[in-house]
This record gives sequence, structure tokens and C-alpha cells, in this order.
Amino acid sequence: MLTILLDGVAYGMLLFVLACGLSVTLGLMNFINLAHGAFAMVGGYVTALLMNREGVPFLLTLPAAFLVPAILGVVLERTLYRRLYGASPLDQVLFTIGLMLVAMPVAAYLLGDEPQQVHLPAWLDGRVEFHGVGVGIYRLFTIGVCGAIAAALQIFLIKTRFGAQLRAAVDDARVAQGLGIDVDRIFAIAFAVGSGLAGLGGALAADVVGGIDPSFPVKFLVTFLIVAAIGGSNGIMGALFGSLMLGVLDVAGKYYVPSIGAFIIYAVMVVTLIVRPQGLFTRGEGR
Amino acid sequence: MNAPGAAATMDRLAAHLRRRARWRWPETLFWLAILTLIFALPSRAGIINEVLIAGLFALSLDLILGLAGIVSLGHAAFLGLGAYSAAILASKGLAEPMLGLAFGAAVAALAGLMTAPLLLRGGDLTRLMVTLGVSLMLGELANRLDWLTGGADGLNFSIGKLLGRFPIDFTGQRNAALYSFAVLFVLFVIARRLARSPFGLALAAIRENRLRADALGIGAGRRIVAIYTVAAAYAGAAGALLAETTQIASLDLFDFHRSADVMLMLIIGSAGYLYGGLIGAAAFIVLRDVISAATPEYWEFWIGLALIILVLAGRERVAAAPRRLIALIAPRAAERGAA
Amino acid sequence: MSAPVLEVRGLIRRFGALTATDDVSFAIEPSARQALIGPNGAGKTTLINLLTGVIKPTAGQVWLAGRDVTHLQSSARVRLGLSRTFQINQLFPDLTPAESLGLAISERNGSGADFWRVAGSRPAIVAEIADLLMRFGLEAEMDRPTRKLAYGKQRLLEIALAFAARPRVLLLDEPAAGVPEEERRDILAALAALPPDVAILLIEHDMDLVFNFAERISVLVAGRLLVEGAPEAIAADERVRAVYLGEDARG
Repeated sequence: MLTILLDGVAYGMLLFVLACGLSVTLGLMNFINLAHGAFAMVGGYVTALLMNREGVPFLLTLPAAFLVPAILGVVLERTLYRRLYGASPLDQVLFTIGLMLVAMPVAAYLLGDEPQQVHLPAWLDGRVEFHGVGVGIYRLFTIGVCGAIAAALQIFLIKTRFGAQLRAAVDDARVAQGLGIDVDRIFAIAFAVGSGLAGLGGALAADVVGGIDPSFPVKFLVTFLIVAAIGGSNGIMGALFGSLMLGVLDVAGKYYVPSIGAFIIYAVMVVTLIVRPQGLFTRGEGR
Repeated sequence: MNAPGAAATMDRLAAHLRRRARWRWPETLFWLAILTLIFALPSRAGIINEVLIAGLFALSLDLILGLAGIVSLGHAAFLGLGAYSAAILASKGLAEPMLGLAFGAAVAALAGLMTAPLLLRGGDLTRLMVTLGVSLMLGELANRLDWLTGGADGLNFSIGKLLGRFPIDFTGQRNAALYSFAVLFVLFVIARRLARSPFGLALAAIRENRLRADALGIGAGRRIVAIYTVAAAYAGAAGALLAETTQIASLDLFDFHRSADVMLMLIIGSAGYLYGGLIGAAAFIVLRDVISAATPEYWEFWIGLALIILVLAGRERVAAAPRRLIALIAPRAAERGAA
Repeated sequence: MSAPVLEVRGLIRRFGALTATDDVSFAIEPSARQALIGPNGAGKTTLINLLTGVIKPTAGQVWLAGRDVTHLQSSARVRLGLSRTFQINQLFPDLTPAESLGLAISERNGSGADFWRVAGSRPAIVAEIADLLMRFGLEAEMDRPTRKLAYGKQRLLEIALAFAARPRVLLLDEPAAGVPEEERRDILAALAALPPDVAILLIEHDMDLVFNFAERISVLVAGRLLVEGAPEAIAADERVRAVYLGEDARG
């Protein structure tokens, strides 16, 4: 039982790191970025390739798994994404789907269809005994790292000046701009960090989901959307809560009721919609 | 108000309203041309059939996207449902195609009816998520229930003769094309009528200005559920046709890229005109065959690229040429000009 | 004196510390030609939104034709006979005036859900569309998309649409706003030609329009009703003058 809970929390934490970037772009720029999963995929591939081809130790690949998608995000944001900030939701959807559909075959072409595995270093593999229950070390590691990230984000948002500017821009971009806040720069940085975190999440999640393969973005698209939906406009803590809930329900569901376990997240989606009839993305929706 | 002035106004008004509904000769020509093609190119019956079915699928998306302004990322859900329903029915011995067609459409319509209320909540993003979620969920379900659906292998079956007389399998390719044509035509006429009815007008109003539509007392919720159900039925019919004329239903019908494909077809051809989906489908399939002869596996890449370019170049400008073509055939239900 | 068709009792609306509507009470008679004026920020649009149900009051009641509608949704109030225009035109850009009006009429008489009949095939509805077009001077533009109409014509269509619902009470939110000088006369003419069985509450800044049109004027200042009375009395009222002091009360 404890193992399941821990697995669920670990998975939920991963989802949080993976999806928080999506919540931010949604809440901040009202922008629907369906290609978000592609950045996660890139991060996962970076780690897998660095480890498998260059023999780089797992921990050292993680900064790269963050930076590469982050840089990619900045480049794409400056060149392509920013043209579409005022575009209709349909345009944003079509465009980001296009990006995703381009990214996946490129990955397949360059790296093949087979999932790239991330082999955990020995010290992360294995279990520890905790009150007679076996607990995976990697799970603990994941919870620790993601928890630290969540805490860091929260502190950053609340305590730093940039964080305050970000929150102001989320609240009302025009007013923020009128106050002299460089909203453009904030968007770019937020997008980069969000993409970077997605990449980091992808790297961390690689072991849990059985490797990174080209279909990763579309497989997890609904999950990311649901996380962004549940947590969405409630800030970091809201997103964290949503992810944890989803993670635990998903893992528990698959364990206890394996025949319908995969459908748990869809059930969550439906229930959330029923419970919150005004819609989920109270900020990011175009009508 | 002087009497002659009033009479002139009435005449002009009546003419204006009538013009929207009249069947114009280029439209008749359009349909006759397709029919002629089926007879003139018997060796191409297979691809013509594919275009007709894709056109029906695109038409079904047009009903929700073009008419009602609802964005869907999972329209393939209904395609798959229709296909598998017809396939399962046939493999259980009820092999009359028309029966499978009706059953497929009905099952899809039911699914549409049940999921539509979820679309009413929130805005575009919620709709995207829900539609995507439903299609992936159904795909997963079809995968699981492999005793019913054949799982990853798909469901092979043999189809009976249409109306008991006309084979539509590989021995009757032209019959298959004619079958699809007939279904498409009938459903198109109904859709056309629907678009020009007060109901269709109300949908246009909901799409164009939801605030004002509410202020006129239009019950947007019910109308949206209704059109979504109809669109689901149409997509289900397309799925049934696809399964019946190829004698196989496979899991990829629920795939995300099917939903993306049909969206692209509709966008290429212009949404909202009803004919746009048909033209877009034809263009899409022809282009696909040309390009995949060169690069077979990475078709997804080109679709993605097309979408990116399409959006960046501006959908309006890219669709200008097909739109002019369509305007020749039939004016949009809601748009006036010099016509 | 017949029963009022629209009545507001002790209406209060607060937004946090801001009291936008401060204990407003008034009544509108069935054939009223009433205007609501006040400086910018007085809370006129908030009041309209409260009346139509777009926002809910913090306290107080709204009564329509003897019925408490305080907790009814907007669309329900529309069906009970309360119609409004918007300060910024809310029209259907790609529909023609004929189509827009036809739609409004169909909805009103319950045939709006008809999915088989071709829109425009019912002679009674067509006749009514024609009548409305002529009443509001829109015959010349009847078959052009709304977005191609001149702004003044669009404003007339805005009023026509609200009127097509055959309301008991018509709330007009600054109908002349943004309309070029030459076209304002058309608006005034259209308003003057509205039948007596509709009560009209007009919110306006254009004093020409107000004094030409209204039989009764209410003055709203900082969310409160300052004074209410016949146009001559309001024009002569010192307090009203003081409120508008410095404001260019031009038409």
C-alpha cells in the first residue's frame, strides 16, 4: 500500500514538473501549446543519448536535459510562437499540432522507433527497507528532486522581483506593461523555463514510462492537458495538487483494477468537468 | 411607408432569402461530374471511393467546426466507432451493408450525444481536451476488447452484397464507389438543408457572437448538442463505409493523426461552406499519394509542416483560391456579396 | 396609474470596497419614455447589467411585469420581455440584417429550432422582417453582411434586433455612441417611431437625444439616483448642473 502511494506520489511529481510549463504558458499568455510534450521528449532523448552514447553519468545529463529544450524553447518562441499570441485558438491549436507532428517523425528518423532506455545508475536502482516495506530509491529520488523544484518555483514566484512581475503579467498583461514590466521578456523566460522543466521531467520520467520513443508527445498530451486543467489557474500549488492526485489515482487504479486502470485519467477528466461546470481553464480559455 | 416602396422591399427580401436555399447549376454539375468520374475511370474506383469517404468525414467535421465553431481534436472517435460497429455487425452474420451503415451511424450518434454535454462547459481548450480524451480513450478501449475488435490485428470480415445484389468488396469496386457516392450525396443534401434552416442560422449566430445569441434567447447548449450528435452520426457513417468497402476495421482509425488529417482537409478546403471539406479531401488524398510515393513513412511530418505553414501564412490567404472555387459552386449560407 | 412594467427596489451592487450601485429604486411605466443620465463612471452600465441579469445584485430586487426576476438568468428575462442593446455593437458580422432579424423573430415565436424548413419560407416572418427593416431604415442594406454596414446603420440594426424580440421593456445602452453626426438623426427618428406598447429606458450622454426623446429623466451619480423628473425640471435643477459643471454637455 505504501509502495503504491509512493509510486503514485512520484508519478504525480513527475507529471507536475512535466506539465507546469504548459500551465504557465496557458495562464500567462493564454496560449495553447499542444507541442509541449515535444520538449519533454527532447529532454528525455538528451539524457538517453548522453548516457547511452557518450557514457555521461545520469545526474550530469539532467542539466543538459533542462537546457537543451529551454534553448530550443527560446528560439522557437522568438521566431515562431510569438507571432501567434493574439491568434485564434484554432490557429494556435493547428500550429502547435503541426509542430508536434513535425517533431515526432524527425525523432523517429534520427533515432528510430524503438524506445530509448535510460538505465539508472546503480546507486539509484534498488530499494531500501523502510519500516518493513520496500521502497524504490528512484522513487524517493524523484520525489525529492521534483519536490525541490516545486518549492523553488514557489519561493521564486513569491519572494523574487521577477516572480512578482510574472504574477502581475499573469493577472493582467496590459496593465503590467503599463507599469513598465517587460512583458515580452517575461514571456520568453517563462516559456524557456517551462520547456526546460518539461525536458527535465522527460529525462526523469524516462525510466518510469519504459523509455522515450517518438510517440511520447501525443501519448501524454491528454495527461498534460488534464494536469494543466485541474491545477491551471490555481498557481504552482494548485498544479502540484492536481498532479499528485492524478498520479496517485492513476497508479492505484492500474494496480488495483488493472483492466480499467488506464481509463482512470479519463474518468478524472470527466469528473472534474462535472464538478467545475464553469470549465477548468478559467484563465486560458478563448470562448 | 408608401405601398410601392414596401412591395419592392418585400420582393427584394424574399429574393434574398430564397437565394440562399436554391440549388444552383454549378452544384448539380459538381455532383454529376463526380458520378461521371466513377463510370469513366473504373480502374480508379478504389481511390475515388477513398476520396468520397474522406469527404464525408470532412463534411461531418464541417458541421461542428464550420457551422458551430466547435474545435475538435478527436473527431476520429466517431470514425472508429462507426467502422467497428459495422464490422462487428457484419462479422456476426448481419452482413447487409445498409444495416451496418445505419448501425454505425447510430452508435456514433449515441456517443456524440453522450459526450456533447461535456463540450458545453468551459471554452475551446476544454473542448480540445475532451474531444482528444474521448478519441484516445475509445482507441484504448478498442485495443483492450480484443475479443470483440480483434485488437491490434484489426477486424477482418466479409461484407454482404449491397441490397442483396451488388457486391462491394474487391470484386465490386465500382459498386463500392457508387455506394459511397450515394450515401455522401444524400447526407450532403440533408446537411445543406440543415445549414439553411433557422437551426443552421442559429448555429451561425452562436458561432459569430455568443453574447448576442444569448441576448436573443437562443438556447446555445441544446443546439450545440444537436449538431454534435448529427456530426457524430455522419462521421460514423463514413467509418462504416470505410470498413464495409475495405472489409477491415483497424485501431488506427482512432489515432490522433486521423483527427489531424481531417482537420487539415477541412482547413485546406475552407470550413463553413460544406463543399470545402469535399474539395479539401480530394486535394489531400491526391497530394498524399503523390508525396508518399516519394517518402512513404514520414507522411506525418508533411502534414505537420503543412499545418505550420498554413497557419503562419494565414488561413485566409491560403484558402483564398479554394474559396473562390467554392463560391462559384455555392454561396456560403451566411455570407453575402454581389451574388 | 397602471402597474409599472419594470421596477427596481433597493438595488445594491458592491465590488469589494466599491459600491457601484447604491440603493437604487425606481419604476418604469408601460409606455414610458425614460432616460438615465449621469457623468462617466456613475454606474449606468452596471445598472443595466443588473437589470438584465448579466450580474447579480448584492442586495435588492428587480421586478418585471409584476414578477420577481432578481434571480433569473438573462435568457429567461429576455423571454419574459426584457430586451437590451449593448454599448458596443453585438451583431453577427457575416449574417445580413435580414438574416439576423429573421433569426430574432424565429426565436421569439418558437420556430428557431426548426431544422428542416428553409429559413425565410414563412410569409409571416418575412413580412415582419420587412416591417422591421423599413421601420429602422435598413431596407437598402438588407442583404449585405453586417460587417459591411456603416456604423450608424449597424447601431440601428442593434436596436432593431433588440426590438425584434417584441419586448415589454427595451433598455438602450447609449444608442448614439460613436455614431457620426449625420446619422444621429436616423437613430432619433427610429426611437421616436417605436410603438407605445414598449417601455423604453434610454442611457445616453447625448443631451439632444435625451431631451428630444425622454418624458422623464433620472440622474445617476456615483451609483445613487440623485433626482428624477420631467425634462424641464431636470434641466433647471441646480444639483444636476453642479454635477455636470465643467462637463461639456453638448449633444
